[in-house]
Amino acid sequence: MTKPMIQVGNEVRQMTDAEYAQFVIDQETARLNAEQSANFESLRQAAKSKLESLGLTDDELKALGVFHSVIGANGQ
Amino acid sequence: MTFPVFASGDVLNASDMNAVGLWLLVDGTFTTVTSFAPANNTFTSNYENYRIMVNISALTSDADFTLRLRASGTDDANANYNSMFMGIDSGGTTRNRTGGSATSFNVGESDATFANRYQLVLDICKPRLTARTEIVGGYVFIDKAATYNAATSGGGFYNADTQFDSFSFISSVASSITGTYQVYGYRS
Repeated sequence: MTKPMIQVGNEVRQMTDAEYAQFVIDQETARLNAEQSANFESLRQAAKSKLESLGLTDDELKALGVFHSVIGANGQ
Repeated sequence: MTFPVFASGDVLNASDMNAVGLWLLVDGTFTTVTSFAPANNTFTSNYENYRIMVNISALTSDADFTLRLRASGTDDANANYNSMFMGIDSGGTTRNRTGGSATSFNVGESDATFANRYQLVLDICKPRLTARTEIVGGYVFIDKAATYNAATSGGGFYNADTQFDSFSFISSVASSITGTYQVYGYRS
């Protein structure tokens, strides 16, 4: 199996088995993080819809500091 | 001679050279790789602190970027990396990038189409000492969905007293990044 290429110094080579094992772990971790972020975004949109259904406008939400400049991408 | 302006033919004596504060140690390129690392022992006892710069010029697919410290040719993937980068986009929305007890530093992401907007400038402090290694700096990028451009500043630390001699810059996408990097040593 051809493994992903990496560069160390001027040497370009395939990942070793150990490096590839770590790469696979990293991929899975990233997938789980993305899933968590998607869930957060879903909750965020649901909360925003509830507030909007109460009559609050985007500008009013921004004035409250909600959904603007407080919560960024990935809920961070 | 009058430091720091030198004239053609001037002799650079020890005091002139010792006054140079920042020394280019490595200036490299990388092409469609998953990660790149300067050679082992890029961090030496000659310098305590380092500046690194990474510019991505092309990317095969949208990707997240991380950075790991290395020792003796191996990335350190222990869960000791803490990232605290405060970010903001051009519309004023917060775009922080953080991570606690993670297995790498979080150094952003990039959309493939706008990959050449990614630039990292980071100081790595005392990696060769048996002490905490801190990073301080920031990066600019366009997010993977190409919905905003953002800049971050902040830093992080490796939460164990470990000696390192290099680092790896890693893409989440196999064989994907092309660009350039520089490593400088700060004279103490």
